[in-house]
Amino acid sequence: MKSAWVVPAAVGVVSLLSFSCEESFSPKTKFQGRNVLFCIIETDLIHTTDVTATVSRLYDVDGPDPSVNKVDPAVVGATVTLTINNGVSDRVYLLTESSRPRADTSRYAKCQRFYSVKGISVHYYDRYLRMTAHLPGGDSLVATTTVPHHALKEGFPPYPRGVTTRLDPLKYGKAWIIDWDDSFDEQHLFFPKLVIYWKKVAGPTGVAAQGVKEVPLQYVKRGDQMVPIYPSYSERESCSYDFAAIDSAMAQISAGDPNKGDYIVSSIVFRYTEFDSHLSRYYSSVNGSLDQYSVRVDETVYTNVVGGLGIFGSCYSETWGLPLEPGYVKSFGYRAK
Amino acid sequence: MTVTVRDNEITRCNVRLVPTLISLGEVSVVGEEVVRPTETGLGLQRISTEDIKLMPVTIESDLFRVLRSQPGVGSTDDVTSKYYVRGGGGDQNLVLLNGATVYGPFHALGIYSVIDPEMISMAEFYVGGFSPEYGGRLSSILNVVTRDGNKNNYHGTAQASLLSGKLSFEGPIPGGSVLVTGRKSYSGRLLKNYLNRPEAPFDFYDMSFKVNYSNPDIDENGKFVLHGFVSRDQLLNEDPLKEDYDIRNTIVGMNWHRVWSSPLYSRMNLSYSGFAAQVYPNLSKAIPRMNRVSDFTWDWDFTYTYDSRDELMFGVQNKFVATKLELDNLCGAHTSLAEHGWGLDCYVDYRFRRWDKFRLDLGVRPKLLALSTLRPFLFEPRVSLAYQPYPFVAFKAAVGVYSQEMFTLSDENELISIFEPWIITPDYLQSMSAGHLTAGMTVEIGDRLSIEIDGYYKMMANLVDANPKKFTAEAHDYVNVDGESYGLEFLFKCHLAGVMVQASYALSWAYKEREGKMYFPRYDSRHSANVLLGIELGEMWSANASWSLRSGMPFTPIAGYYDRVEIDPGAPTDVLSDIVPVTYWGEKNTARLPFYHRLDIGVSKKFQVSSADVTLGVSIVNVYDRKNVFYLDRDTGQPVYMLRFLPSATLKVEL
Repeated sequence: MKSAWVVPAAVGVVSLLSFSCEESFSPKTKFQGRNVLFCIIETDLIHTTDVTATVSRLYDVDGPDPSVNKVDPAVVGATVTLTINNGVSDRVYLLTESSRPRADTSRYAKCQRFYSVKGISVHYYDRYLRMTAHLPGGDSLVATTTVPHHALKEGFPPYPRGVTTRLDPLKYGKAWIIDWDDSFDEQHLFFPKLVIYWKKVAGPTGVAAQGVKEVPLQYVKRGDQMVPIYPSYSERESCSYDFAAIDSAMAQISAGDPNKGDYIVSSIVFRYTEFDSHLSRYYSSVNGSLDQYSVRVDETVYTNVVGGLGIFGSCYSETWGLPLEPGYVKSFGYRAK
Repeated sequence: MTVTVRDNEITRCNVRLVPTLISLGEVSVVGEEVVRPTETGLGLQRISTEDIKLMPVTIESDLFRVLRSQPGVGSTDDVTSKYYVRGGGGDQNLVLLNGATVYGPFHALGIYSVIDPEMISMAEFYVGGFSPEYGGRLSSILNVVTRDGNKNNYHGTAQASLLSGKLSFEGPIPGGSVLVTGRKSYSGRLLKNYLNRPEAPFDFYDMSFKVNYSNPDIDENGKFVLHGFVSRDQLLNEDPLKEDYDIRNTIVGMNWHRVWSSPLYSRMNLSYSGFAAQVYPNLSKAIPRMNRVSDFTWDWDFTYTYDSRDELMFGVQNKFVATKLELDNLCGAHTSLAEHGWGLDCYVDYRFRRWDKFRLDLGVRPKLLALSTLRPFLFEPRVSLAYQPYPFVAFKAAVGVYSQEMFTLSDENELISIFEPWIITPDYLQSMSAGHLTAGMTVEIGDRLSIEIDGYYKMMANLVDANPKKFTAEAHDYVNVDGESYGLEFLFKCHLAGVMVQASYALSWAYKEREGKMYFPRYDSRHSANVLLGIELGEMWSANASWSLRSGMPFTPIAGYYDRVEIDPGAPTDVLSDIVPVTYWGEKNTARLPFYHRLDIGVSKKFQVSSADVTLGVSIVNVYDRKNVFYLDRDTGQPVYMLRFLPSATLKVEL
């Protein structure tokens, strides 16, 4: 072997090993002061809602961790108005500046500042909502939204005596498929949720506990365990609950408790929330992910706020309650009423 | 033996050699110089198996990682083997395997190429200014020809690395030879070093075969080649809450080489290349995606040699391609694209070889039928020349126009992407096009030392990028952007007794322009340098080392922070309580990461065990454990590093 090569090579490697192997660099550029507006209007069949908006500014901290910021970025002294147009006339509301004590004071110690108006009516036929914020420095933020349409319910199976899974599988299948119809096809996101209301009584009249049990779409085997799968956001206008998942949720209400007869289970409630197009895009851009292996940089977060960032959106929720079939409830040892 | 040769006629003469034994001293083949300085092939690099062996092994030896050591070839990271040529995008590189297009040239998220170095006979790599016989891509052509099997003896090879095992078999058949290779992964554990993930249950394999056959009774002056290649990458999670992946290449083809009675040589290629990629989300929140490509290609190339040594090359290339893509984007908007088209190109290239000191190639590539609706050009002219005033120096220049009608949905914001679908340029987009202008000089001092200096300017129009504002199904998935790149490259090669040194440096600029705004693409690197060293230490020991240096890649810096409302769809949103502090990113790619540098070393020893030749290799990646920044985590703002110190070993047994 040509040992003449070995010594210089070894010296070179040792020299390299002694190098400093990391150099510092700043991941930041010049701080940009921009204004941020957030307001989400939630409405349902009752139509009356409180509207709350926050106006804040970008901030900077030493290092990459924004949670160390202690200076409240809220903007005070802004004039915030909400204009609602139902196709015929405008209704204009001035959001008053308010404050409240913070539940979490770990970041900001002072009261939380915001803008709000209470008890206004927002209907699904209020087609056009505009929020304007004039900031003390002269900046303005403007954003608009359209309240989602009322989606029509369809496809409920006939439950003449209440919801039950004890059905002929040849006729009804093995799942409860719930459909709704967004006939306007605006690519809105929907969030379905199915819950069972229960309470546990102590003695003839007292209520020891009560709660809501969410029903998963299905259970899947993951290793040795059965894992519930809950619905997530999607543009789909239907969802399917396995009868076995409903049965399992019913059984889990009193899991570990031998006194099944103390439980009253009376109704099952389906609720869906529809986001308007702006809120749908915002939610997708914040929460979307391709898969667990892809690596993305440079997050693009949707905003509809002209002159700044944030979101002004609206959503519409609808709830359909159905009674449970008494025989079905009793099959778990519970009381129906 | 007497051979009679007549004017304008090719004389065929078969000579059967008789085997005999002779005694030789030790012979070490470190590399071979194959490109003559007077060829006009500016930007052509020939990669031999010895070049691949020169690179220290990164778990597996890999052709694409060798390409990245060439000047003008860049990358965004050392995790994947993806490459970017002279400021062009990753999908602007054509990979040909025996004349058939390879659409999915990567294994395991792009960490390795699907082309097993064991099957390579020759790889030609054009980094620009390529001749009219090549088309369909803007930036580079990698033309890989697999080995012919051994025509005299049966021969087998077994290899093992920490990632995969390989087998190859070759030997004679009546009228020709056969070669079969196969590679299969058996452990994905090492890949977690690449992905910073605790688990990555990759499973991949590739297989190839090549059959050569010639029979004077069928075609006296012809040779037939039947070849095939399949590869499959699967990522199968046993957990139903995680997604699965399946990516496949299927290639089968036939080549017919023929020497006609006049000084005319032809090569016909008939091939099918299929690519299928699918993401099965199962019950995870991953987005379902599917891509299919079917490519039927028929090429026929002719070369006619005149008495003056001039050459006329001409041919026809006929292609039918169908692509299908189904996916949802990050905002839930669905995309469904199904495109198909016929592409019919022909080309003529007249090569003046009548002068000793001057070479000139004049060519044109008319596009008679286009795959896409809005094709860029009807004619693509190509001109190249070389002037050699002295035997040791040659000056070269080339100019050409190029077009590309297929592209991948490769968002440069996805540093690691498992799904890169190919589609034909949809109707609403203009096809990509580019103009290359290159000039250079080659100095060769004997057979031992060469220096190449190349400069280039590349203007690109109608490049295709993912539309960052696609929030609805109606919005287009892609937008056209323009680009520009230019640079200067140096390559130094020295081959002395037992030592081979290759050093390269590139100074380059790359830009993209969208909506009137110029920005640096992520693969833009101002300076890059590579040094490769191979040493035969004697007694069958050999060592190699590579050192790479690159100026920092562009990245989008942090411009501030804000408190963002997070929506929980299961409960009413409270804009006062449901807030999290997040990063606000500044202008795209306006800052630079720190310099990248890395040293890899390897050593191997060959010895004989019984009748088998055994080679044992050990290599270390990132010897001095440099913390090269890969990217900034968008959630934490903290840097994520590339490959750290990583030893590996390989074993090769030849029977």
